[in-house]
Amino acid sequence: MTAQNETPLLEVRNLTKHFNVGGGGLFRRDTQTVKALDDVSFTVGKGKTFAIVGESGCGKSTLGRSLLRLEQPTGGQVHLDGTDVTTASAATLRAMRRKMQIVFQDPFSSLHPKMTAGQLVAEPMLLHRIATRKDVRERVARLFELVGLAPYQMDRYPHQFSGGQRQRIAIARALAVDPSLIVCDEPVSALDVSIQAQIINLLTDLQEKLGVSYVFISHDLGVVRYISHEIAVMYLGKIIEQGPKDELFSSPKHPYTKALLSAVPRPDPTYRSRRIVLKGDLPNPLDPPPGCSFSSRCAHVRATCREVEPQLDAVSPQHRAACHFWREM
Amino acid sequence: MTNHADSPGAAAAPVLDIRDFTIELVTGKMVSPIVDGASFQVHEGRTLGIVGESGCGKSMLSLGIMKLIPTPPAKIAEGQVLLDGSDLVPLSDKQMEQVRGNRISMIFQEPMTSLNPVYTVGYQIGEALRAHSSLSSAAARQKAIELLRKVGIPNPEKRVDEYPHSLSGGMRQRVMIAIALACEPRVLIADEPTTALDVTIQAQILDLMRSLKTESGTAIMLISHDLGVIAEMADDVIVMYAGRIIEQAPVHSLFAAPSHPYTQGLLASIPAVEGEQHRLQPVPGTVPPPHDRPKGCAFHPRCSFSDEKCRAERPPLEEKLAGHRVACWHAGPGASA
Repeated sequence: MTAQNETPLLEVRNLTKHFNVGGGGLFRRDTQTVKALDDVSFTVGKGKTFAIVGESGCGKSTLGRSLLRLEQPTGGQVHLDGTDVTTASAATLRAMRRKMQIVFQDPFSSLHPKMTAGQLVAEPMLLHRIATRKDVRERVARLFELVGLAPYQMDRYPHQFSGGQRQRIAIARALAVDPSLIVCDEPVSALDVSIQAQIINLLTDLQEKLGVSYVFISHDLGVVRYISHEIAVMYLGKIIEQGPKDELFSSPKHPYTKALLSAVPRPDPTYRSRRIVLKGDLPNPLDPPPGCSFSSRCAHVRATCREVEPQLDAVSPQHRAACHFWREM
Repeated sequence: MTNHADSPGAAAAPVLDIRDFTIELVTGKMVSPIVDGASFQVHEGRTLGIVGESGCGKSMLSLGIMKLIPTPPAKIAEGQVLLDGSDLVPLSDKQMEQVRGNRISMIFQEPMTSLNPVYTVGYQIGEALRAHSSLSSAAARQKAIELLRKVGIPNPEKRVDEYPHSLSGGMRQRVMIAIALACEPRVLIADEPTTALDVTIQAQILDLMRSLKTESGTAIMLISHDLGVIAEMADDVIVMYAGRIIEQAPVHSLFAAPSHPYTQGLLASIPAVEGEQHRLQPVPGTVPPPHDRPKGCAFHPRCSFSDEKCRAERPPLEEKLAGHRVACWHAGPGASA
């Protein structure tokens, strides 16, 4: 439950990111534009988890990177604790990065192989002058314990750890600067299911202990259900449905959300599948269908859908869906 | 549902009969079994699901059956692979070429890397056909178009001349399935066929595999880490841990009464999309590497039921319920596990 009167930690307003494809160079072609993010808005409260789900190419990772300005957005604003990230000066941005951190999917490529686990966790603290050379080891040891690693493992190198342990190192490194927001970009997708469950529990416990907020990017609806308070579903650069977790899972309104939910194989052989199998593939993002971008794959498509783009419409005070016919779904 | 649903092997002879299959990894002076004494059968028109986490040996097992394991360092140390009664293990490479893609086919996780980027889709399907029959190239092309249509590729007459890069991931996996089914194999081994695909595309491919199985009666060995996919597709299931089969049962029995603590742990680790939501109960610790497997039951360091006996002696795979075999000292009717 997000309290309405409390100022949110993160406020994203009309965020857009366009990539220009082709054009220029030796083989001159017309430039085409991919709208990787198209008018995305949401807020994240303190100590809450906001999940972004969608399939490959929906723009969820671009969104995560734009929040930290690892990508320069084309338009819109990202306010963290009242300061706009998108227009911040280099110096302000550096200071702000203390408050926001990111954990990536692949713990094999996101950790420098020639630094020890201890050095990896110590580096951000030394950079931001949170720790001194003297007390840094002590602080690293505490962080190791916090994420379920043994302090004696500090002097080992990343390759000596398993995938799950490496992800713990990445989380400890993100926590080292005591951030108020961590963007988690598919943090458990590369892990086996039993290890994945360990990391999900760890992230939940850390939030309880430290009050940190997460923007949790994932393609896995099951994982999202276990970690988030609020969920946004993305399709071709747009949020097409958004709402509190329980409401979204119990009464999804957008046909795409319904199809996504129904497509997840249930670990129960007696489950009678009411699966909605979508026709075809994701449309070419360079040439999205006119009107509703989901119209080319939707089973309920009507003439209006191919002409008029639906806007996010309030289903309930906190639940919104971008479908002309959500009332009938 | 057929009448032998609960007792595989009771009726017709199996298409594939694996006996005491062992693959060893030889590194320096160290010999470690990566698949250790696996025995199971795959029947016509049925799907055997093989489930386990990274490093459990499930992929090595499937590559071993195809005799595609890198030798050295790995080698088949023991056992038989009986395809319609005749053993593949002693066959030469030349003889295996006549079997692969013909009587046994395989599809892999990565449809991006399993297709050759410089040949058209039609050529690659035709290649499989021409290798195992005397079809002319015109006839092979015609058959390729038919196969593309069968695996649900729209506009096959046009797609047949396209290159893999112009197809989406789901389409490429359909092409891989078309190639695998070109010679109407007796057995199809599918190693994580939908793992690289988005969930809505996965649903399409699983649907396709199910209807092809019903039509052709091909026996399927489906390897997956996803218990949801296994529950949906398999008739019988094998759970592997550290190179060994630790539980083996008809699918309904396995999910209704998971009996090995590891299987129970896997099921308790899944974040479900519906039903009651309680804290996940992950299996503590990690999978031991092949050269450092614990004595006794390989799972004992991670098991909450382990005792003296588990640390000392390896439990055999024994029938504990009808058709349901478990390798655990604590499993069985009335046992605590």
